[in-house]
Amino acid sequence: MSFSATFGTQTYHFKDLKTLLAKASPRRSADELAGIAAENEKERVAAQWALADVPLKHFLNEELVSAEIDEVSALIATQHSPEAFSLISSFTVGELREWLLLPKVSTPELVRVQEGLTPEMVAGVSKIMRNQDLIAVAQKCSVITRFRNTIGLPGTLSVRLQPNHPTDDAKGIVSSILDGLLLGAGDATIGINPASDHPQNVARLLHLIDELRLRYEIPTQSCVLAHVTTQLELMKIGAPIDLVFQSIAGTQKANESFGIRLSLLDEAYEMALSLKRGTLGQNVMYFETGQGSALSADAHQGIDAQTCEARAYAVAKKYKPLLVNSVVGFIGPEYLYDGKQIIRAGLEDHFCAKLLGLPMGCDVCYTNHAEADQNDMDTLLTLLGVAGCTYIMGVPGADDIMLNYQSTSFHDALYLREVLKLKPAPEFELWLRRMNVIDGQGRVRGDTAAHPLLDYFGNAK
Amino acid sequence: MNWNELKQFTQARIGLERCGHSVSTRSQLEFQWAHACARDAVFETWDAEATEQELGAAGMQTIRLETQVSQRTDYLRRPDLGRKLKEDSEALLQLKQPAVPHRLVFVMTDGLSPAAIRAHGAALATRLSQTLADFIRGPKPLWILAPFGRVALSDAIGEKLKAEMVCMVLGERPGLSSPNSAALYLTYRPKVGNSDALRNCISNIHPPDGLSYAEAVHKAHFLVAEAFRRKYTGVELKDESASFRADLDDLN
Repeated sequence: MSFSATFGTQTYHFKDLKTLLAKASPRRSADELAGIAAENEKERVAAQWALADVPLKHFLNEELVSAEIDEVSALIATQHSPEAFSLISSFTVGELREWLLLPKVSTPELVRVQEGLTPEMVAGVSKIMRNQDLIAVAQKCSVITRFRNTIGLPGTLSVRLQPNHPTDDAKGIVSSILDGLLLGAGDATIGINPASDHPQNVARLLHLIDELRLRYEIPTQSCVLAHVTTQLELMKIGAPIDLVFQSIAGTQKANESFGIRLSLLDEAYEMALSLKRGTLGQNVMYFETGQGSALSADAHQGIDAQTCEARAYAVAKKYKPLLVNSVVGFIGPEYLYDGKQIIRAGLEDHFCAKLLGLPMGCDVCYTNHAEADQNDMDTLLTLLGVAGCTYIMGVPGADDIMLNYQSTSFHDALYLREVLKLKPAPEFELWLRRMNVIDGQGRVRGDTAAHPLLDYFGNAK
Repeated sequence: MNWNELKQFTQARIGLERCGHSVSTRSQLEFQWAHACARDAVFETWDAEATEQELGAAGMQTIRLETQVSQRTDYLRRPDLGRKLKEDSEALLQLKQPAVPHRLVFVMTDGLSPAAIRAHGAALATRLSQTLADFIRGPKPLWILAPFGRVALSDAIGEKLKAEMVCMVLGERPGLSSPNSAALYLTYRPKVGNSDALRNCISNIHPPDGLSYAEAVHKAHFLVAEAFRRKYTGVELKDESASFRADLDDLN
């Protein structure tokens, strides 16, 4: 079906829903690189205008990529609940925005329609929402998950402790972990991106975190972000895997470029559940996403970067993950050019995922060839904090020396907790108190030079 | 242990001096300086003409070409254009085709770090030309210099020259602690449309902190010899020149 919008004597035509969504997207270099972006600002707003008038029902009748050739499309169709949808089925995209912003629409109402919304509807409405709309609505969503602690409670902000090292050096990694723990980070997960995906190396890193966790009885979960096939292999031989990680994208072709199919994720999920390592809950998966990933694999099928991203959330949702995060600025300026585009994308991803019921965090980050700096990260970090972002990354000094990009630091997390009066996950907060890392006010103590955690190597064999 | 002892184990910014929730002014400015170095490394201009003269003086044959990108901001936004040669550059390359195709040709581009090529380009070219001399057909190694190139530019050039293999030297995306890092990419049977899975990469070349020239060239020699023997590069060809497994055993 084609769409149009008329202003005076000028009429803009959009040949199908996919084109309309792409042209309505706030400007970003990924869609320009793909050749599907609006040609100018007027065409963009015309597309947004036309998009606002599209009935939500239409999204159920026009596939962006056929379910016959794309298992993500097929999954989206299966996940859709007509019953939940009936509450909003009369709306257009524009009316959905207005409804979401009503004060009477709060957490229970949003949960009620969650299964009725498709990723494309959510992506669509985000395109006609201002940054403040994305923040206001996301703040009303509540998603709580559990493994060894409780993630996503109102008033909390969790941190993934990311202690990467360019050669996976054990002492180097542990030193970064200790730094993070002493700065109150690590409740979302202690998660290492391994430099080498070699199974023996990944197993070594898993044992490394597990021993540390057990010795100090830290109520958190570990993860080594190797390929899911490596983790499957390791689970079979009894390696201590808490969370199974995988990067995912919004089309089957893009997922294939990551070396995954849904059937493979099914297998990993079932096996992770069978290990029963969670003590409070069984949310055993951890996913990463990011706008532009489908395009970079030449697998976007003509769909814009942000809509592709929202479709990836359908994949995540199937496995009830403990954590999901968008690695928003990692991909580089040919996808998100500058701080403005990264900030917008971060807010979109958080909003879309939360509305779809996912425990969304964000790797607030950039590379050195993007037009961005730490000030842009401060802005996005603060906005996401207000929006109720589930967790952020904690990297020593914001400088990831293995992946060569800048994220947020342990100190950045302390800043956000301080200015917005946010706390760590409650079980982890108790541990921090017991270990004398935080004081009576919940603040990290000033002097850590003599903290017993620093004796980890001294006391080790 | 204290923080100074732990800092010996990693270059990560651990144990930073604090003020309240934040870091000391000194830590903050150290970070800003590192970021400034990385930013300037991206936006430096590579003087390809000077490099050409240097390589010529060292006995290499050179051709200087242009990609479809002429300024840095376009380079950052349009990776597709950095993979292609300008029309007149293609024509020039056509003219330079030898009667007998090359076995191995070299390409150099500034990529995302002109600073890396300024620091390491000529030194790597000299050592690669010497070490890989056995794999070259003809008296002099051929070096193609093309600013604003992406990795896949080596396919466009290699295919045009009907080269059996191409070795590209390029400036890597600058890290906060490594603004001048170079990489080598090896592609057997270069062909437009090749995926990166068909290449081998030697990354992080930036002495004294990163990989040394000698180590990089040693790895390159191993991979090039193996690639000619097996007639492929890519994920199936593992770099077994380094004692990676032995390193692993040490850690366990």
